[in-house]
Parts: sequence; structure tokens; C-alpha cells
Amino acid sequence: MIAACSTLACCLPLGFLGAVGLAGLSVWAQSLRGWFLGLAIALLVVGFVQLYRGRNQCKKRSPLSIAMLWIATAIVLLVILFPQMIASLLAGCDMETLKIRYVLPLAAFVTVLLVGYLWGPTGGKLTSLKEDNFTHFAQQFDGAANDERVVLLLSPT
Amino acid sequence: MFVVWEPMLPTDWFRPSRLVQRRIRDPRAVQFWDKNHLVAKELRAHLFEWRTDCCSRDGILWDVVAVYPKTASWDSAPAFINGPVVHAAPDAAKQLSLSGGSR
Repeated sequence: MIAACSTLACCLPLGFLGAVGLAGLSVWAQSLRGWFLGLAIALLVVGFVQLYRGRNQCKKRSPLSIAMLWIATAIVLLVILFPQMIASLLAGCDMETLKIRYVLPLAAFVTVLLVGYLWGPTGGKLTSLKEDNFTHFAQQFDGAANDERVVLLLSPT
Repeated sequence: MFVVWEPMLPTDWFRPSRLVQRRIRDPRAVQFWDKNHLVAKELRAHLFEWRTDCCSRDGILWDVVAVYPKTASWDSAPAFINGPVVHAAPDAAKQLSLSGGSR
């Protein structure tokens, strides 16, 4: 879910990492391999559309995003085309230990960081605009008429 | 500088967090959460014409930067407006330097 959300939050390339993660999970959980790979491909397709075809959003096509997208694509393709090779590469590892010691804490850490950043505590001097207080915005704007003013309309994610 | 955050993407569930707000480092900035797109709708109404291919979703303006000259009121059209912000910022800065400052 985090991977899907972060792909939708187009300015963050974490969706591509999600695609890689899902491809990795498909190696672990063979019975769900088709589902995980399908989701990974879907995330990549969304990533490609947002980076290369997006018109109203995701205009920030940074070199990092492009590099991550193509690296993620390469990894997912490797998992699809050479599943045995990937599985034998991982075969030398104790999967359970690897999962408990590294993968789960890392996933939890990334999730906490992402959630904290995007949807963490609000506050500061943010004013909520509503119909009944919108005139304050206009008054504040007009009250600063001695200077040039800039208005930015932005999405939080 | 008037920074107006509005919910546009499927992940815009809540008001921007403190960390998101800190992306705006200019101490002169005043930040707003505009859940109902009031600013975007009014700004759109002040424009004589607007490119349909830029910076709106379902008719709501977003990811745009607008520059107003001195003495301009909120009811007037901005001297400069364009988006997405990441691409329009240099032109907006140029417009500001021509006018001599920003707030």
C-alpha cells in the first residue's frame, strides 16, 4: 500500500522501490508470485506514465527519478526472466534470519519515515481557509500591497 | 509569499505536516490549507484566459505560481502566472526582479 501511495505521490520515486520490493517478495512467496509481479509491473507502468506522459502532474522529472525507474525496471525484468537465477542467488542466505534482521526493520523504518513526513503532525502557522474566514486571506493579501506578492498553489504530497 | 496547500492528489489526505511546510524556507511566507480550493477558484475567476493544458485538474488550478505587482488587489489578475512551479519558478523570479522584490 505504501508503495502504491508513494507512486501516486508522484514527486517521490519510492514507488519504484516498492516495485523492486514486490518483485523481491515474489521470489520469497512463490505461491503469490503472479500477484506480486503483477503489482510490481503496475507500479512501474504508473511510474512510466507519470514520468514520461504526465501532463498535469509530476513535471519534476529529476535524473534521480529516471535512474530509479530504469533500475527498478531492470530488477523486475530480471526477476521475471530469470527467477531461478535470483532464487539460487538468495538460496545461500537464511531467509528467515535475513527477513527478521534486516528486511522487516528496514521496511518499518522507511514506512515510518514516509508516513511521518507526509502525514505527520501538523501545526506551525498554517491557517485553514474556509468560506467564513476567506476574507482574511484577501485582506492579508491586500494589506501587503506595498510589495510584490507571490501566490503558490501546491499539493502537500 | 502566500503558500496555499490544497488537496489535489489521492494521497493528500490531511493538511500538510510540519515537515512538508518546512519545504518553504522563506521566513516571509504565510501558509494556508485550502481544503475547498477557495483560492484556486477565485484566482481562476480573475484570469481572463487560461491554458487548458496546464496546471489544473477538474478545473482546479494547482502547481502554479502567480506574481502580483505592488498595489494590485486580490481581485485583480496577476502580472505573471504559470506552472508547474518547478518550471515556472525562473520566470517568476525574473518577473520579481523586474519589479524589485517580493513578499
